[in-house]
Amino acid sequence: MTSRRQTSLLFLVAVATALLSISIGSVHVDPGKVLNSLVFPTDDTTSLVITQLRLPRTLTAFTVGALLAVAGALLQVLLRNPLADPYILGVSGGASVAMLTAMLLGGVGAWLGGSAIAGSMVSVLLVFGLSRFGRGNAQLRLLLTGVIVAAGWGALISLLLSVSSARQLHGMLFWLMGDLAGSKLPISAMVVLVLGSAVAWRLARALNLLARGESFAAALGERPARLRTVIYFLASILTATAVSLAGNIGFVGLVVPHLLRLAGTTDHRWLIPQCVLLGGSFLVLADTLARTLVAPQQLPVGVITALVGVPLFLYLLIRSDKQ
Amino acid sequence: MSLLGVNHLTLVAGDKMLVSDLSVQFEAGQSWAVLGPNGSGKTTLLNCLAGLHPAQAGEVQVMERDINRLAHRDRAQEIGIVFQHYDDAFPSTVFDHVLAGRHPHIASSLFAVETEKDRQLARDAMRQMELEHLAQRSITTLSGGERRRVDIAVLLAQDTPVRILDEPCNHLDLRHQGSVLHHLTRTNSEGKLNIFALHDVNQAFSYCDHALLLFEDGSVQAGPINTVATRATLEQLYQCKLIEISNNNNTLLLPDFD
Repeated sequence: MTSRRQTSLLFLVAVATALLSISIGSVHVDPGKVLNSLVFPTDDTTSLVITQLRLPRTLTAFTVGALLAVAGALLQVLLRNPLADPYILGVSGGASVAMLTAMLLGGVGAWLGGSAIAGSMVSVLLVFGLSRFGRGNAQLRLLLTGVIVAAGWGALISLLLSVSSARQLHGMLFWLMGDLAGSKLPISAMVVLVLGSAVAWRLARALNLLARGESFAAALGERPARLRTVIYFLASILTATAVSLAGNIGFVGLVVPHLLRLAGTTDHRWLIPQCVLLGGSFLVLADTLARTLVAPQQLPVGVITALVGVPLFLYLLIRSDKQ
Repeated sequence: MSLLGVNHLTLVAGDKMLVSDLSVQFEAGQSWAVLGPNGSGKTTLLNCLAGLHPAQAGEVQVMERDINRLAHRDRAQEIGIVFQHYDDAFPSTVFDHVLAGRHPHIASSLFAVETEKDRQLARDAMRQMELEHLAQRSITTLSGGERRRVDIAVLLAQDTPVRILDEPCNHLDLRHQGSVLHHLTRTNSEGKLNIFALHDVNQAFSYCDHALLLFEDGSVQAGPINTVATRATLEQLYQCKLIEISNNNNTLLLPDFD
């Protein structure tokens, strides 16, 4: 299959999962009726459920999934490690510590999202600053610094959980596992997604070279040191935006770019848009399952992404070895 | 006008003097062998000539312009380099990898893509390196020698006047060692400058017309290979005794293993 057809197919998948996700729930709505309500909103209950509850949630899921997938693709190239995920350098750790502290202090609403962004930015600057000390392989130093700082945040998260009350613990755990309940229309995150993936797409040819090695890119006229800085901050902003919306949803950022690479997409001019489409669809689907499997109870969506992703990934890995 | 030149170049690694006060002009049509023992600074010198390693003193000039004043993309249109070693983290087909060599020639504007001419040059480069049958294979599945020829095909696709190769014959079988060097120095050498780091002095004598010898103390001898690389200087360079073996018109230098 050509990259163009693959991308068109993924686009159709994205539209289909979005429609499915909006029509399924406590009140079932025909996909046709869904389209109708989206285009001509009325005041009846069904229409309100769709425009006020399900559409924002589906859009949030799509945006978060797309942000994480693009961030994952960028970090995998930056660290030249197919196992890198958006959280590997401590962005989400910093966000989580700030967010849990805010919860512990009784913060609500915008305070929580704001503290998550602030926490992740502190972590981003800390890792970047510390990694510039010393000499030698800058890529490896960034990876080691990030992983160690992330481990530090992990310890602080455990500390915060252990001192919080039983009443707060449930909400905190849900947030840590990734949670899309109560989503509002994610306007600013969608702007970040559009601008961020446009910049990533602009860098796509340089990413193609960087994936083949920093010295390879330098020999062909790119500037690896400058690229490294741009990619690091771009991936961090995408990740921080996703984390501030939905907590730590694991697996999407690791598995989506990897799946697409296994399926044969190596050119980042295709990989970036495909990450947006597949990352978004994957999380929309996972979230639909999370809120319908044991309805009216809701499961943390991060659990579903892993439960769906693990067998899917293993299947593709085994199949790709046979070729 | 020389294609590449160095003026009073000094290279230091840690506290070891690699190159001290080197001045030499490299002309189009020449093939240079850079010879020296392990750790003598061959790789550092080649990276410096390619504009990828800063010099402690002196300057490198590309067509009489300071290499550091060139835009990186312009530099990559003039100078290509094949490194000693690559490791592949992500899969890619041989064709896509070779096509990446066209990068500096593709406009940096938003919607610029590879043209049919770029694809044709990539296909030519693969044909010259006898890789056509591997075009759709993943580079991660190639043998060491096939992978090495892909590296050189990238350089050919980049199509630069200056071609710097750090140990091009690594991993190549006997036939390809000869055919690759023959291609670079004879078949496809019009207007090109080749600079090779080599370990085999006999390859240097067969394919290069100039030599640059890097001695342990940082001193350098550069010039036509027959005047610079005599048996006596090579014995001093490698700190080992050499014997000469003649057969028909060929004279080979080999280390004396006794």
